[in-house]
Amino acid sequence: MAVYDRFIFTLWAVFALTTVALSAGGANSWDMYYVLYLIEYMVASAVFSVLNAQARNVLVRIASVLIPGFGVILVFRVVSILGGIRF
Amino acid sequence: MTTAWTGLIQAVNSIFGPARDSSIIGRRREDRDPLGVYVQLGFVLLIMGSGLVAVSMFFLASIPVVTLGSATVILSVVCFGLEHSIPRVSVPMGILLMEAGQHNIAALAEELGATQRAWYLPSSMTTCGARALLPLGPAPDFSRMRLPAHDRLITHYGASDQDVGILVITPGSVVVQRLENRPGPEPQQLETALSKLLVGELNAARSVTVSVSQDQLLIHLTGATIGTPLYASHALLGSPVASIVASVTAEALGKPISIDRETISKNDALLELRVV
Repeated sequence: MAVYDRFIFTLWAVFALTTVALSAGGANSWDMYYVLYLIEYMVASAVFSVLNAQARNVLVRIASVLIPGFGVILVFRVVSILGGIRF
Repeated sequence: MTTAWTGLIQAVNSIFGPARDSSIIGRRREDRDPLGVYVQLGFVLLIMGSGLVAVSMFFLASIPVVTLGSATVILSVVCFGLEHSIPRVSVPMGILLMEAGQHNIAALAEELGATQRAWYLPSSMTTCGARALLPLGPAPDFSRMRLPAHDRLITHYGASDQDVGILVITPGSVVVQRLENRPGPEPQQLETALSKLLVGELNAARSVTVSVSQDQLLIHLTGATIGTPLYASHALLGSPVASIVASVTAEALGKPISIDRETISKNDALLELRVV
């Protein structure tokens, strides 16, 4: 199995396991899922550092799109805590 | 439908750009097939993920399924991106070229009477980049070696008239030329450099382990794909993978390296390298 295949398979497996585990635990907030997916994506990208320079560049680009999502979640959380607004 | 498909492909290309010559064996190809395996997988995942999100949002109202759909969409984006980082090389064409080159080297070595195993020289010892030296006379004395300033095939490298050898370019020589940075001499640094090359770039092994044993360096490759035919030149130069390992090791240590033994069992390979 090529290193690309292993990376995609690993990512798919951890995403699926996270979804099963969280839903079994009764987690019902989508931001928790998103943050965990993001962390897993970052960890998998770091573990697969043997990928060639261009592949790593692509992964960084995707992360740079996903990370602002985390910022948005953070803002929503802060607003909901300070303003008492539920999203 | 065709227009929408073409539009999607163009969108993917515009986001990730065409393949660049940043990999070891990669070449820019404007005419690359836009529907590689990962693009196809990406489209399947994108459709599945979008479907899951839509169905769960409007019918199931299930947050876990919505997030699973979103994760599938993220995976599809990863697939699109990775497709653009894979070098496109025809494997049969590559084998043909390698076979021709290996036969030529074997014929040349046989004609000139080279019987000793090759010494892989770092670029610091030559003026023409990393090379493999096939000595035609006695074993070379590297402490007194002086290679000529010109890039010659048949070269005179010592004080004696018998100090003659053939300087050949091996797959390892080409890899060393394209290294971004010279690897460090510590086993751990060498292991990292070889892993990046053989696992990440060339997909020639699943893992690489480097250990030191007395005057030898032991390189253990798991999941090695040394599935090339046995050429006559292998007796002198080693297999292409061994050649790459030896050249990179020579470059890292700045010393000549010879392949003492190459043991291949199933998908694993153990390379015993001798350092001067």
